[in-house]
Amino acid sequence: MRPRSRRALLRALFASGVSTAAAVAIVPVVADARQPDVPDGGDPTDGRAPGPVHDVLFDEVYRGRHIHARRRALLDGPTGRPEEHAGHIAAASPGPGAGPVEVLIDGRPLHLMRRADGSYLSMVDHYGSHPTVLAAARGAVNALGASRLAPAQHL
Amino acid sequence: MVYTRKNQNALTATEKRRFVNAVLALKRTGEYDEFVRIHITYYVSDGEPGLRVAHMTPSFLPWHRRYLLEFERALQRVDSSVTVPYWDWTVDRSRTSSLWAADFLGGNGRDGDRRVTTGPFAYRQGNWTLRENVTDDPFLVRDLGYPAQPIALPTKAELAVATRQKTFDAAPWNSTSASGFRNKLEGWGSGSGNAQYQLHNRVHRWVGGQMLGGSSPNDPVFWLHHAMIDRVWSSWQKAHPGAAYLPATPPGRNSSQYRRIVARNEAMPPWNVKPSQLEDHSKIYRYA
Repeated sequence: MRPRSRRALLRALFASGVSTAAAVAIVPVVADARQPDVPDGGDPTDGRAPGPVHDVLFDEVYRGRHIHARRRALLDGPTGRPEEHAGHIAAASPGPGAGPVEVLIDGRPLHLMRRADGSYLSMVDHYGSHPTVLAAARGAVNALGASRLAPAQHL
Repeated sequence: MVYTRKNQNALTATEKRRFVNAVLALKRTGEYDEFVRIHITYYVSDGEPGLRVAHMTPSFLPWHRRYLLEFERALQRVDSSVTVPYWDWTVDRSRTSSLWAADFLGGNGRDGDRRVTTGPFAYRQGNWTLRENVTDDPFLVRDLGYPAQPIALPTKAELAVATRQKTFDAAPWNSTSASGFRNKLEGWGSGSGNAQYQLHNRVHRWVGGQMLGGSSPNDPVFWLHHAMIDRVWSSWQKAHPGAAYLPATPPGRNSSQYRRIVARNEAMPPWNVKPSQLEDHSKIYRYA
């Protein structure tokens, strides 16, 4: 069986009649998951164009891994309600008014999520959080050991 | 017919074999990977917008209760004798416990790539190739005890920090709730380093590998761990009669949690079931 992306799963969920409230709730997660897919331009139904790359937040080699973070320009959300769009941006951004932050480990996207206390969780460690994007990236390198992140399109 | 979920350390060799075989059957049909995807999809952190049903939220417990029931029903379609065992990590605390033996879940990861090489879920057996993963490893990874920053499984005394709570949950209904059974058991501690990993979260950290990340159900021990969490909730319910799921009613418009959490009689996706419908499991299963 061909593995399905999170997006494909969500389409299946919508098709199977998941409530509108649930669908609305999930949209920002999809949007977040899409951010790392900039190089391939993504899915035309996604409604997002790749934005220009703005500030590089850090770019260093940590324990032999290249970790890189950059803040992208604000993008227009596809259809989300205004407060959700604002929340989505805040979710991945270290400051108000700034665009979302992309983090790469050896060129592969590390998906980060924000906690209510302002700290960051990564896909690699969903059960502990870090005060800054840099700490979260280093924490992910520590937890990865010899493993590499999955390529961009997968999760 | 009410069935029994047993302590994994009390299973017979036949019961272990039948559980493992049912899990492998779900993996073959692709159903197992669908369960992994559901867990990934519903992990919404509490600093993110939108509805949280699975983590950092009051419905952490009923959401996972239903998720386990769905998995158990799938197992039972393969073999009606199978139930999900629980792993009491306050008792079976060793990296060499029978849980990790080759006739059950297999052992720790090897040095280097931390790949599990023993038991039915070892990659070389050909039955456990990961397809929904945070890393590009096709094999199961474990790092028992997290030796880079050693951590111990929760003790009975640590578990009591949660079970002595008198109320189910408390505002602000997320990972920063200072009191309430749910957040203590979920285990969002304060501070840095190992102190931030408590109880449920600490066990994910202790196992390491896939169990630490977004695709944690890739490790079959996930189900045994969550059966333990469910059992702790069940015992807490008995010890605190009348202490129902909270919040009873949805937070209002002025709350930061407006439309972001599920009240007792609101439906949880993806099953459209209310927490109140999951509080009593006594007609479905019991714990031995």
